[in-house]
Amino acid sequence: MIFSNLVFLFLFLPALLILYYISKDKFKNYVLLLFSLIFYAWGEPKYVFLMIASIVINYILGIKISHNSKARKLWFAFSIIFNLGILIIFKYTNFIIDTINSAIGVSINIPQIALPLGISFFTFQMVSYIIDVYRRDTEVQESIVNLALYISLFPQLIAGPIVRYQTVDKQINNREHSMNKFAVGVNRFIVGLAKKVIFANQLGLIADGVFNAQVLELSTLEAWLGLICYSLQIYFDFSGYSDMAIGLGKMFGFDFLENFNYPYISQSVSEFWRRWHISLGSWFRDYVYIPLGGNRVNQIRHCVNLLIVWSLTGIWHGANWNFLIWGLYYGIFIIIEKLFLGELLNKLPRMLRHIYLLLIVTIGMVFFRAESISQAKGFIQALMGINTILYNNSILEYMHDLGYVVVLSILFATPIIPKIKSIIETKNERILESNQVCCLHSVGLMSLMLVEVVMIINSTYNPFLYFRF
Amino acid sequence: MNNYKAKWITIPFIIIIMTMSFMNIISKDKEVSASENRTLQQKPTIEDIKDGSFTDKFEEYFSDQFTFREELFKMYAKTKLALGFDKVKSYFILDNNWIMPTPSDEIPDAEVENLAEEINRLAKIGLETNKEIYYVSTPHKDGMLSHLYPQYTDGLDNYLNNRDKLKKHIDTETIKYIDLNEYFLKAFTEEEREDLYFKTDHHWNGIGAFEGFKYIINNMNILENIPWNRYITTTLDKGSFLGSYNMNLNKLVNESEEIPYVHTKDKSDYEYFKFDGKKDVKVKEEDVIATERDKEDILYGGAYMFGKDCSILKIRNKKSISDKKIIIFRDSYQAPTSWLFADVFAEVQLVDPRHIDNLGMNVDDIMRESDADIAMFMYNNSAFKMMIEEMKEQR
Repeated sequence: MIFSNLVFLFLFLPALLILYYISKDKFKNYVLLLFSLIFYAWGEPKYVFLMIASIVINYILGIKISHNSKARKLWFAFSIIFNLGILIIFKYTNFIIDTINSAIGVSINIPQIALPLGISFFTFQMVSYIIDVYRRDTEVQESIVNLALYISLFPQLIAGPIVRYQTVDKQINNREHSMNKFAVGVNRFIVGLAKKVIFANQLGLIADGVFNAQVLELSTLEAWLGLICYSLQIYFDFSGYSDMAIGLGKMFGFDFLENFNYPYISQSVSEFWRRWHISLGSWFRDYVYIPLGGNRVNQIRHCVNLLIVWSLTGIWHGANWNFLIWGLYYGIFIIIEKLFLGELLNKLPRMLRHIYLLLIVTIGMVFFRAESISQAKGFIQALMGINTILYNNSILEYMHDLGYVVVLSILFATPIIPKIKSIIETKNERILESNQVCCLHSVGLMSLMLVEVVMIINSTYNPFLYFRF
Repeated sequence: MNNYKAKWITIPFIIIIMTMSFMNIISKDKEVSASENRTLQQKPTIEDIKDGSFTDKFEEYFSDQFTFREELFKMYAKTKLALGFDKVKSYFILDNNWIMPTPSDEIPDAEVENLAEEINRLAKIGLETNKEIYYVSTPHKDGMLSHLYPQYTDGLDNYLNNRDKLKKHIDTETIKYIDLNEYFLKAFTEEEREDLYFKTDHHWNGIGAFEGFKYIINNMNILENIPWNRYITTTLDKGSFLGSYNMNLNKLVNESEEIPYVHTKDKSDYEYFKFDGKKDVKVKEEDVIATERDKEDILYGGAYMFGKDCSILKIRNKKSISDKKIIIFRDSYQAPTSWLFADVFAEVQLVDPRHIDNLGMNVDDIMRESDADIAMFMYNNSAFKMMIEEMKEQR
């Protein structure tokens, strides 16, 4: 099930809200767990049992690791192998076999393994729990229901943010419910839904049109428009989903950490990755980069650590060479920035630093979106104007139909709204809290929701891009 | 956020989702969507759980049966138009209430070659049974009225390219190719061509069909000095025309269009027979021609003839100009020409390949067993691919 689905909005969510809020506090987690399992089973009826089995095994392993026994280290190693093993089996087996087949010219045949929804996200959450317990950063969870709720909590189950166990362990047993928090959640949810339905879906029409066309038929400007739209689409799609997850979390009393912070205003690749998919970046930092020695090692080792982290980041996104290249692409730029480019960039005007970042990120998106390396190569040639015309009618048609979405998306990808709010607050501290503004805010928000529902009904394009990870 | 503001957000949100949820639960399910011309998904069953399609079907059911769905669509479309956009769904809504489709896609050459091969193959069967073979390419609206599209529209040449490719691969040694597209473009100005088509539908009207028919007959060279001045135009004086595009847009465009019929001043007493696979069964004219004449909303098929009635429909005319028989493999563009052909030929056999699966005969059998002297493929240049593929599937 996805959040931008009528069944979720007008059946699942109302039913859950009613049952959750009429239940006594001690039953609230049971209600949430039950609905979270239904939420997952709706899209993956078979794999819900895989997730449940994995939760039970991790629950037992967590208890074993928490004991001060000699076998503790062994249990820990087994836990990591078990969790990563599941991820490798379901996500990477076909890729590994294909690679072996083409590398040594054999033809090993295995059946196609379907990718369980959200497996990369919930596996990383389980690993986070196991490591936190092993390091004694947190207490072991003694209730299997509570552990199951942490893993399967529906707002973040399928596409993140990757909630670390430390972040929510106390909230699982004891969290605050208030109308203020609920309203903040509603506000965030509606804004996230707007990012998805009004922006990402519309931008996707252009991005798909361009990327699905024959590369040789693309004009240079059309290729650039498609790439810009895809870069914006993936931001609005994923950050919209994260907003909805954070908003839904608040409706049920949880506080999840932020996952995006206007990444496209960054001025270096390192900064971009501190603002984009923050929960994944911090997961790799805390559980891979720092244990490898981080930057407290010699320069060569430091570079190797970065390459390991970024190749893992790339391959986490998908079992394909494209993703590995995409991850390494960022890793190399981050290394270059750390070695010398960062200092050079600091001497450049802000605008040039910004242009540098946007070029690196958007071109990197070609590898992320292309179906194969040869398509990526052809697309980059089109971007550079090799063997193609400068423009054609398609770009005029796209801009006529959806140009306003592109312009507004660029605008809203910057912190323009917080800026405007802060200017207003500077001039009149209380104006945003006045009754009139509250009414206007409410009318605006509910109108936005109506527009979203109308667009969902009229839309045939509604997939979340990060679901495939 | 202060408490006052929180109430102003929480309460309306709860009211909206709960009310919508309640209304969706209590509202009665609909069978069909008139505006989309399709059946709506009904509640999934236990069987759907077994085969794993329950959740997909339930989501489709919930969306199809959503309260105020059609009203919300209309609101969305009207808002788009009011904001100055000219495209709703895949249609351009242009000046003077013209609705134009997204231009056809270009068909790859190899694919067109395969399609032409099918026509060539059927033509051989026709020749073996002593028939003259014709292929008539009728002119679709998107190509004939391309001047109506906004200037930036992409793909306006696709229809011509597709036609050229088909023409290239048709075996013109055995098949006489009549190209109405070229004729319409040369013989009529842009403004004149507008009078030959419905504004809110994808077809030509009776007048356009008559102009096309004259060119076909003149190019068949089977008759001389046809008295074209004996034809008159009348219109249906009740009901209102509902164009296919406008129907798909939930009657978004408010345009009153006349339904013209071109026929001889002294209309003959045609006789109609439906072939049931074994024998011809006589039917009444009102059961096959203009079957929606008494309805409030009249579709193109209901104004002229539906494809489902052409499986196989035979029209006989004792006062025809020629004593020859013709079999026409047709699409909906043929519909307004039925009487016109029947004035010329002693028997017109109309075959719509989309509706012959209950006859127990495939297209090859129909071609072989027909006693017609002439066989004609009459497909518009936007749908020929679909129609020829349909014939291939019937084999």
